[in-house]
Amino acid sequence: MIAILIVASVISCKKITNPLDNMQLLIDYNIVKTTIDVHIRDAATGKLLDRETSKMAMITVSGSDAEAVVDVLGMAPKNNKFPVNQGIANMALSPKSQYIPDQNNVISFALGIELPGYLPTSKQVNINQAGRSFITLEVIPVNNPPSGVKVKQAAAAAQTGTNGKVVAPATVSVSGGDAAVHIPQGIVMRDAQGGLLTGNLNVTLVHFDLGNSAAQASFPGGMLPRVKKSDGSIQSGMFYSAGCVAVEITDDQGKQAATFSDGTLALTTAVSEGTFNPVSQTNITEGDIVPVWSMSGNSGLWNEEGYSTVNRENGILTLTTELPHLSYYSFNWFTGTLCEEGRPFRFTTDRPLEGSFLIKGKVYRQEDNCYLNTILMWATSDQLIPTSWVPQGVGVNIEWDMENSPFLQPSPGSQPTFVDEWCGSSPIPVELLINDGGGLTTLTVSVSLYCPDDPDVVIKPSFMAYYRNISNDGPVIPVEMVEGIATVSGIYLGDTYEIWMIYDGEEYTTEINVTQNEYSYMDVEIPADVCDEVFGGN
Amino acid sequence: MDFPDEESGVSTDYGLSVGFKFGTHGLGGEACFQFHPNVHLRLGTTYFKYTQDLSQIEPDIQGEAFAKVGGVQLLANYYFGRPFFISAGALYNFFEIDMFGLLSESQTINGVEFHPEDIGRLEVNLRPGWSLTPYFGVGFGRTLAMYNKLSFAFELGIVYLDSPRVQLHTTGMLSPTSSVEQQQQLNENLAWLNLYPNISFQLSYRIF
Repeated sequence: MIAILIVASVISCKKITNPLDNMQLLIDYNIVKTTIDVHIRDAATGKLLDRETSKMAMITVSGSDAEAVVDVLGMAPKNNKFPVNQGIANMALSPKSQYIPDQNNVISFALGIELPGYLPTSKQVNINQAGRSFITLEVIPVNNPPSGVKVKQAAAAAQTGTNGKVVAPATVSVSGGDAAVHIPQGIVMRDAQGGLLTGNLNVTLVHFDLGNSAAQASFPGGMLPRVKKSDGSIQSGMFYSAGCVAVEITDDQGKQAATFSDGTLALTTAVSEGTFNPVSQTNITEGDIVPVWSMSGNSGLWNEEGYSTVNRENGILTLTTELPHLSYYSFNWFTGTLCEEGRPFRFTTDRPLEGSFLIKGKVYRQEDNCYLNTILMWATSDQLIPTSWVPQGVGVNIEWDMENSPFLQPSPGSQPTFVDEWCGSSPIPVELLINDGGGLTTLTVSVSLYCPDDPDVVIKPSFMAYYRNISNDGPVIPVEMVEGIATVSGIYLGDTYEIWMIYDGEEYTTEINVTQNEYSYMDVEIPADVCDEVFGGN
Repeated sequence: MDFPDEESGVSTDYGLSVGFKFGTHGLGGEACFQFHPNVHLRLGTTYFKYTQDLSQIEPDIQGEAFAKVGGVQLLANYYFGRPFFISAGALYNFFEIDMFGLLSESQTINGVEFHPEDIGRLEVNLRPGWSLTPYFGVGFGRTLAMYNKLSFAFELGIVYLDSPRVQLHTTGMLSPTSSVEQQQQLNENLAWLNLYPNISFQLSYRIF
């Protein structure tokens, strides 16, 4: 047969070509079925962290299922940490069978973020279905906190002797006296490793005025937390909060106080008169009893510490508690339960709309108009979009934010969307209007990943890409990529867009000036160690 | 109808033979009808299929490849010298190359086991651009004996296939490999394969 083909080639009039010239082995590397996009926003500006700030940020995964969290190609992260690019961290759930989420296999872990100049925060995450998940983390800049959040940094607020005992009492207050922490004489502080804090003690005190919606949005871990009750049970539910304070104490050597002996710190916080007490079903008043909670480190879990009684001092309602250790402290009623499966949304548009779009909603409790959380959904017109871990037994209002899909706007009847009971199965209808102005088009980007040693073997990835309108300094918008194809709708003709994907902390970017329906290509070389893992090393 | 007489050196106008042939189009048979001393009409068929177990070549792969040649030929011979002829006609072509393969064992990627079918099959099929293909050749000898019962012929020729139609089909994780662009590229790469040579030997028996 070979001889025959040689003869045929010799007498053929056409140039002989190797059959495999310019051919590639294209691999649909869609082994990861659940991706998690973590959006980290500056609580003061509401915007995603910028490029430079993101470089200093690192997301830490902890908790019972931390091992389930991998990168978007299924690789385990180093030290359970993920880098952040332009305010976004990409992660995924391992495709191993024990980590495939469903109603009977909820994958739970906590995301914590530490970023210089920002207060550390964490959030509990529960995933009970495969697909795209979006998580929002709000971080508070110490020097420019959002309204409703006051930060006091007091250098050398107290001093210790060489034996670590505080030599003189000190009190640190935020401006206006909304919160104060008292450090008694003789108390000894140690860091998490047991080391004594000595010399000058520097105190950072943060007060959240939870009558303020911006402060509510910054509430550590959000108002739909996972908690550890005093009886040891772990529950998911909803906070009605009367106040939140964070205290951090360090010495000049950078040791951070974690535990105390020979005394306790006393914390006092002012309570807004308008705070809603779900027990009495009216505003908070003197004598009300409020549970005290603490959240340490990156656990994302609030621990019940005891109770505090509302006092009135100098005409102001206050709550006081002793601090056995340092962390976030909050005064909240924990109530209700969360449904693992909520009513789905059905988004409809006034005209046919191809492709999917990202839609964001801010959820407020109807009773007290308290901000509960932000939901992000990857939606397709007239399709049911499932929801999970939603509050049961309370009405909510959802305010839609079209930042991620600027070519859409909610119809007046759907903004806000009132949901009296979110648990159930009947769809929640939301009407959207397309406001294209006649200049919209769709952009298709083909993304290929290849290994440096074998460029003819190409991975067509299925995870998220991002784009941003450079012409009008638009926001960062995620877009779904399937088998290496990202279809970006709502693109304005004539504008220039930056499109990128992130892998292993690196951005791979292309810039496109859109003159028509475009098809653009982005080839990305992936690290050799990843290639070895994916294709088998030598 | 007279049988040809070698001594007289005169052939009859009509004759019929059946023959056995083999060559690059496989093995087969042919009937040859003479209706003019210099012109024969030939109707025949050949076929050959070769199958290869791919695991014997590459143990990591399970699969099979086969090449099929042959067809049904309707040809006309013109004898321009006593032992030489030219031949032209058409061939309904059975030519086909087909291959499928997948990994022989499961692979573990990032701690997850993937079965060969999950990773995917790769199938390639190549057929002539035209099913009915033209043929031209030259030969030596006779497909219908002039004076005896038996005759022998040797023939060289070319079948024009047109650019072949190559189909690439992949499944599982390899699905994107058979994209439209890749199929076009493969067809372009094999566009030169538009001719198929014929080398055949034929032994015929004259019936009348």
